[in-house]
Amino acid sequence: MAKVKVKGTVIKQEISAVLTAVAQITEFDQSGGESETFDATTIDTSGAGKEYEATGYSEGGTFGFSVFYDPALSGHQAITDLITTPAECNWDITFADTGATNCTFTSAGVGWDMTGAMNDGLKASVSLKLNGLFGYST
Amino acid sequence: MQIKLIRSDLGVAAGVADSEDMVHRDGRRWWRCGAIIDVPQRACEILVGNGDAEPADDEAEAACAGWRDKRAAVLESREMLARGIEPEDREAFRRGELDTSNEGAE
Repeated sequence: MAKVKVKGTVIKQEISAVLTAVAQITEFDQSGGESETFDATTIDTSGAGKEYEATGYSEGGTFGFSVFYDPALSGHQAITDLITTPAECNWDITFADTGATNCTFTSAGVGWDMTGAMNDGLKASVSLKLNGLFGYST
Repeated sequence: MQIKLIRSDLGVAAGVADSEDMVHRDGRRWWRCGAIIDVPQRACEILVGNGDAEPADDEAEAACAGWRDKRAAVLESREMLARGIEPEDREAFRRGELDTSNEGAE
């Protein structure tokens, strides 16, 4: 059991079969992963509780991260390339635990939001729509 | 066009067939440092610009014109990225005052 620090976590993007680190990330999140269910309640269901059953499908959700955006940086250009030229992309997140555990996933689409403010550096938020499931550590 | 990979911490993407240009380490596949691979022009520009590779033929050299400019700074930034050095710690890293032995380096 350990409390894993975030500092030192590396997120890598595939560039033509090579997984290389994305620079200047400040935070990341993964959300929306869930096993899909359907409402299996019928009028003769006993008790008040509604019933649900698994459809057998699962939603991969999204993986997002924020960066201090450098428009001249090759690694950041590789992300915006996925908007100008849509394509699937393989990703890898390597955590800063002692075993350097990594998880992989594939993005089908990319969202990109850029923000600039007087009292902050130029930033961008990236949202990756997963194709399939996040490669959870097991 | 061809590029030469110059780092040993570049993973191999899923779905790529095994080759002698890869090594297995910690249960994962990595490109061998010095491996020469064929890539499209945009990938060449990105990987060379990111400090992961160098042009390995004339075509790649032409695609990455000026890639030697500020190369030392690019490689230093790439190393700090691999080691998880945060911006506020970079000057200390350059002065050799930072212990990075457990900073996520691969």
